[in-house]
Amino acid sequence: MPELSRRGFLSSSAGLTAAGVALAAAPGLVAVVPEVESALDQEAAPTAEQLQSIGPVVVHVRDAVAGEVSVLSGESEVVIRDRAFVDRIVAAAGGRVTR
Amino acid sequence: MSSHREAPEISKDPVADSTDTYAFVTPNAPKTVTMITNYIPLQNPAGGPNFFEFGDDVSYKINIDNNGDGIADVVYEFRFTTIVENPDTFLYNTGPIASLKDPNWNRRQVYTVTRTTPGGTTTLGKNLACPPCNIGPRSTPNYAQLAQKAAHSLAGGTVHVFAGQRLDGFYVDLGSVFDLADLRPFQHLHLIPSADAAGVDGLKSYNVHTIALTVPISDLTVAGTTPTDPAQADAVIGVWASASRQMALVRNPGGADTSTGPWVQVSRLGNPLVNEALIPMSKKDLWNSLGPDTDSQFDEYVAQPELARLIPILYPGVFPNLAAYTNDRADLEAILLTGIPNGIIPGFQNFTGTTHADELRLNVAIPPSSNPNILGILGGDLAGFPNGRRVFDDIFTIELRAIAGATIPLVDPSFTPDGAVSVVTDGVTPPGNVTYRSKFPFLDVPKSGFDLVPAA
Repeated sequence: MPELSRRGFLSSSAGLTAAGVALAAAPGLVAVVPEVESALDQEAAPTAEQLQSIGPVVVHVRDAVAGEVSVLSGESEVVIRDRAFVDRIVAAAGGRVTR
Repeated sequence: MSSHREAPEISKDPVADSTDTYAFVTPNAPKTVTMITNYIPLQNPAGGPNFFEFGDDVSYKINIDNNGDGIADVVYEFRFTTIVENPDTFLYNTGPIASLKDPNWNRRQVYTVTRTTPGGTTTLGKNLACPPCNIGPRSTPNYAQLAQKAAHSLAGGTVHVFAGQRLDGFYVDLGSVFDLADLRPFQHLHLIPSADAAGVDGLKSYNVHTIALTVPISDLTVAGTTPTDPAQADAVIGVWASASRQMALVRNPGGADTSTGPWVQVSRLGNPLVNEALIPMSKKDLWNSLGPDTDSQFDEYVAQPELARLIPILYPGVFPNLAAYTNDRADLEAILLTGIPNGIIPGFQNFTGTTHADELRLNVAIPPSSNPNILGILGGDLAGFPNGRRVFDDIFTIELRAIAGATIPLVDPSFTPDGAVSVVTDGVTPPGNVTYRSKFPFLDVPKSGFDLVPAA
């Protein structure tokens, strides 16, 4: 079994998603992730029950200039690129992104 | 020491700070291996009322590499849950604790053990009780018997597990070693000399929190067998411990903290003293966050250890041969990063291949010694460090002598160790300073807070 998949397997047993493992293990890969629009813009808002099951969600703006956001929930991490979303977050914090 | 508070970040997080890892063929069950890893260093036994405990928010792992690539093939994970019986008292216990379910014991922990291989994850045990901390004769009478009940047999009796407070089995003169590598028995030879004195065990009477696990050898080896020929490559396993926390911690004012996100490794420990004494300050936290398979990036610190350059300076004229030796330390690379190949030490090898990985390498085909030498292989005992590590091995003296040149002739016969190398020590040895048990979990019962006599 190739090393990467074996490591991925052992990690996923702890509850990580495959995407989360790849991005967490190799941050450089994030650069090739295409920019996406905010999931909130694309999908119906989750129900209260769904939110309850998700538990706390932490959003970490990893790189404001690149519009890169790490979304943490449960034991997983998803990295998205959404400059408009980051702009709104940064504005809420009283700042402005200069690109 | 040997990995107590060894890196800047983890020294602020004792609950996840691994202090020592041990792996040895079990003396009273030689078809099994016992692996032990300790956390929460330097516990003052009287440290209440909130006594020491594992972290519910920490993932503790014992990792086994059985094919030499530096990546875990078998992982035992331990996850803890704290139970508070009565939130309206500040007390750890409201009366004597006579059993692991005693209602007088107010704050207890249980844990789950899982075993993960590429074939899947198996839960070996759930709701396993930890023993209480050793408080004193009124709170924890008959402590040894009570704690032994927290040694659980799992998987039809083939697996034994214990998680709880123990007496720290490591011994070293911390106070002198960190005072510019002074060795009290030889301090008249130090650059800043004083009269010689006996060593002082800096860890004496301190407790740790221990995770101990005995499993069949066949559960660990690459072929699922119990090798009997020490020369076989598949007789060697590599062991290390790790602890991880979730990526984000949110402190909620007035409420419980929230941990979220994937698990991130914050502590690692294979061979003793590697991160503590070889890796430079700026890379210690990085080292703790990585797996052994990436250790080649730290090669230079093993090949040219800072301590080997300091020893001749701190002890002028005592180590001239070491001072003149400038070659890369292939002996240390073998001991710590690849294992020792066949043909170097008669009857012994623990070579796992060319991948440089800090792992405690154990040749499981070498039976336990009936007459152990605390200097391990350096003392002619092939069942001791660096063939795995037993609880009583004199790690500080072994590694001090190795770094000072004792093991260079294994790979470079032209080198003659300095005369002081065969006698140099911190002057701390068991018994007297520390005691052990002859059966699982091998580390002795912890000192009680009541019985502790603080140093003058």
